[in-house]
Amino acid sequence: MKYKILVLVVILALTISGCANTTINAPENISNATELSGNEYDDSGKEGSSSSIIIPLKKPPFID
Amino acid sequence: MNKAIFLMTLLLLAGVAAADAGNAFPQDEAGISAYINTGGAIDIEQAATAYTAIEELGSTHAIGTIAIKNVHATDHIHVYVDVNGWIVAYLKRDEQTGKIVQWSGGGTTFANAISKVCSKIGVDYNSIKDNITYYDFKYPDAGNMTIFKNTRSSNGDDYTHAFLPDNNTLYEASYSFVNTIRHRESNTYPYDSYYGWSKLYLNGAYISGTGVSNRRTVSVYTGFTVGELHTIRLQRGDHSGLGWSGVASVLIYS
Repeated sequence: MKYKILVLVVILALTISGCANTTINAPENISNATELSGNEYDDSGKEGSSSSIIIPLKKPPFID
Repeated sequence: MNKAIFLMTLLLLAGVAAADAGNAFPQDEAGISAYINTGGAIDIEQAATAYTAIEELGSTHAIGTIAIKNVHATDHIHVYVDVNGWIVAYLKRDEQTGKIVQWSGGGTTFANAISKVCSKIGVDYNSIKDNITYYDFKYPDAGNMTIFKNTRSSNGDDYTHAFLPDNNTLYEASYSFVNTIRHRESNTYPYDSYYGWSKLYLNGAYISGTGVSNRRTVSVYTGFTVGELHTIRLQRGDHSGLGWSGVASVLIYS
């Protein structure tokens, strides 16, 4: 059996001291798992076996 | 004199309306989002023609949903537009973050929604798309979002190992999990039938399975923590080699 292993290590610089937190916050008020079904074969997502992207999150200027 | 006062009043009211436009964004309802400013005023009624369903339509802003085609189903993305040039695509806080993942063509469903608005208001999306910025109104202290995808089109397993150092705070770990089947005609084993199922595991524990069906599931991981190496196993059962499976994980953290 052929195994393909992708190792993704997300390493972030510590920018704020004292921000360590070893537990994930329980998700609140999120709906149950959503299942979406289709009837036709769709191979449009098949391209590229693996990919990753890190996107910075920034507060928009139009809010207080 | 009276005319001058009248004009000043009109200008003042216009200024107030423009200022109110940004404040009209429903930040208490929104979760993960993507925003951009087009650099010019937006004709609200024109922008609203991009909506599949309109929820609010005023003189300074509009809110509605846009249907975005994705693998196996359509995602309905909320979009806010205002006269100050802002376009904001977002999910509500109770929606699954995994809906951000666009399997058809890559990218995000938010980018698709913003593109659709741009096409209606005469803005060249390609010239502004690099300025799209993301923010999570549900987790305002979150500074990063990482999306990593893995797909498999043959029988067997794929493993993704992910580690987030314990000097980070993880707010949410979500996934979008896809299975696609295809009909195979054969007079020999495996016989004429549909083939392909997928199973998803986190750290060896079963999370979700699709059966032999075209299916996309979006949900949150439980047990995904910082300071530990996690293994996401994508398993595909398929002797036809015609369909594919995929899992995209979305981490929101600081």
